[in-house]
Amino acid sequence: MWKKALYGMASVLFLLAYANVSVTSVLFGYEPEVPEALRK
Amino acid sequence: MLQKVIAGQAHWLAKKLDYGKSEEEVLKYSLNLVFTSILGYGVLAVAASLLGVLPTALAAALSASALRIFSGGAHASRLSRCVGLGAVVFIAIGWLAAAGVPFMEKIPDLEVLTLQTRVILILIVVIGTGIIYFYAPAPAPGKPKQTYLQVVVMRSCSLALLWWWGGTVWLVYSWQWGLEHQEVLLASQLGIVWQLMSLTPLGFGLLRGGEKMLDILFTVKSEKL
Repeated sequence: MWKKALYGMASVLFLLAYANVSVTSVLFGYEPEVPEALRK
Repeated sequence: MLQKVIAGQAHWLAKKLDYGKSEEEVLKYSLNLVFTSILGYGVLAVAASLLGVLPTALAAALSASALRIFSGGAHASRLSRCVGLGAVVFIAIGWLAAAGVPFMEKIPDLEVLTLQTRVILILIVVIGTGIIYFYAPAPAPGKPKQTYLQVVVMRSCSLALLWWWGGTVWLVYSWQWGLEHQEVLLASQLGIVWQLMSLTPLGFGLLRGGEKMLDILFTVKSEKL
């Protein structure tokens, strides 16, 4: 059960990362370096 | 310190779910976005509520942030500076908006007041359209270069958001709520003005100046200690 919850959380985090690479800037303006996996 | 906690969380999550190194990096990147946004808004909310300008400071920050998602803008070089300068700017805007309303209320004729606020709103939208057309989307550090199609989409989204925002503020000014909470609407307008300015060379210059001032301030302080 808890593993399902972790998978759900990880999916949301992946979605957020992909969405953030597609837009220009994040909410509060600080931009961490985009990882290599998301540059392809 | 924060980076270590985030890296630890990403590593733990990746290990529990049997993910590889590249997925762990993506999780770390995503957690970075979540934690830094919470930190930024948290610092702003605490400082603004201590100074009694929470609604106006948040209205300014949320308006600017929403437009920033598509248009981009000047960036501070470090997280601490981004959070610190962001809090200072939005608290100043919040204070300015709260202090400005009593002056506006001195205008006895409601029609003149409404006309004045709407002329200002139209000016922001018209000048903003020009700024977005010429400068948006501003390149974001650390992100891959945008393709021509992405540039067109981001510019169009920025324009659509600016016009939608202008229309909404125009409508809200017609309601009783808008007249009773003019400071929130004024703060939202000032937040958008700040965001539009951060797209221009002037905005980039101001941010660099602010960062230099912080450098001088902290160097002098550490020399005294």
